[in-house]
Amino acid sequence: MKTKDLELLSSYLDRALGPAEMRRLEQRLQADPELRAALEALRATRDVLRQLPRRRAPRSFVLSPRQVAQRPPLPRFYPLLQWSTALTVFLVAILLTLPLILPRPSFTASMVAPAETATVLEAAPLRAAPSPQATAPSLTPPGGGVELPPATASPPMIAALPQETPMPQAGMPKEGATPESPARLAGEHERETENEAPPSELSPLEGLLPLARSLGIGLALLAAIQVFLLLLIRWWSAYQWRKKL
Amino acid sequence: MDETALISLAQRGDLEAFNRLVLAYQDPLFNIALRILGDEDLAADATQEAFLHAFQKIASYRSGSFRGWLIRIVTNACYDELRRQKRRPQTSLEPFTAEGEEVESPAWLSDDRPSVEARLEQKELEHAIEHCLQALPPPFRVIVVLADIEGLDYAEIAAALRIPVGTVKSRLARARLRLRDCLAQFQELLPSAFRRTRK
Repeated sequence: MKTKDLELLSSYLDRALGPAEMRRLEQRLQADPELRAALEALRATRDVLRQLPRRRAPRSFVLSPRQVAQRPPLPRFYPLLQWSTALTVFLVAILLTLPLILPRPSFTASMVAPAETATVLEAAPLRAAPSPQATAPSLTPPGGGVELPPATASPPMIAALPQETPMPQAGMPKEGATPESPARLAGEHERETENEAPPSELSPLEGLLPLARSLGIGLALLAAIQVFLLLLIRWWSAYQWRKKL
Repeated sequence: MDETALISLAQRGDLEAFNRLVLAYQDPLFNIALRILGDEDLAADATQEAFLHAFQKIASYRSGSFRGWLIRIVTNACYDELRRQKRRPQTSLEPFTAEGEEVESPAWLSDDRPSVEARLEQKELEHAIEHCLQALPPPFRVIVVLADIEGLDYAEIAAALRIPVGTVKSRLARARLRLRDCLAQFQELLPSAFRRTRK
């Protein structure tokens, strides 16, 4: 017999079918003796189960003050506090283990990349200084006014460099490249940075890790307060309960 | 005093009011535990535990069927006991030896106390039904106990066990089918109505 038919018969026995479904099943029952036999078997099974005698409780289950004193009733919000404490502890665990979970290479790259670029950029003005005239025309467009900003180790400088490299490329074929030219150094830097993770991908992690750490510490303090409150409520409920008894 | 007033008093910590509720519900709850666990002592312990737990949590009871709320607590206590039994297996109720051979006079069928024949037959029938109930997986057993022994309707069972009505329907249908097949082994004990359906 199909499971669907079995469920229908079982529900029919309990009068739990809708009027339309019941009518359809009754029509099928009239036409199908096998289905009728299955219904009778289910009915007999249910009737046998209903014959089980009702037993009286072997003893009284009334609670004594001593029984309930061991576990005093707790306030209605207590389970909510328990759940929120559990959630806070879970978040603390996640936040404090975040640096360990994050992939190592990208983490170290974010620490190393700025240092490397800084040394390259620091070298640039020193090496370019002896021949300012040779490099100046290639950096200054005919309109004038745009100069290579002073080299610093700050990240904005790194971001600015790729935008300036097209200008020297336009002027270089005529004058030839000199090893000391800032354009060449900028190109070197570009190649170096190509081999590393892009700074835009690293900076969010750099920013997030200290934030996660401080948030973790804050939540750890909150969890400690919640645990203290849970213990206090338990103690207070027990105290009140003993007084009442 | 009506049930709502007793519940309200119990929610304010009145143990006497709660104990009046215990007296009203202890028989049905014990019967449910007995049919689920199949052992009187374990059923008594589960019922006691359920009432203690109910008193602890009565502040969280809002509205709806109080009986349904208590049934949920006692079925959970039974599930806890079944889990404990699973961790510490005890003597099986199955009439088979460790080698898989059938035992001719299983211990659960024997009754040493002298009794009249009809009473003995009734006892044996009860043992047979109990045996078949215990052979069901617990989720099926709980539903068949609540529906066919305690007489709860589908909606009450669904609310008490926090499962969809559709699940109640399908589990009950399959449980009845399994019971029908199991009870067929004990035809001589069963009423004539049951024997006719098996022919």
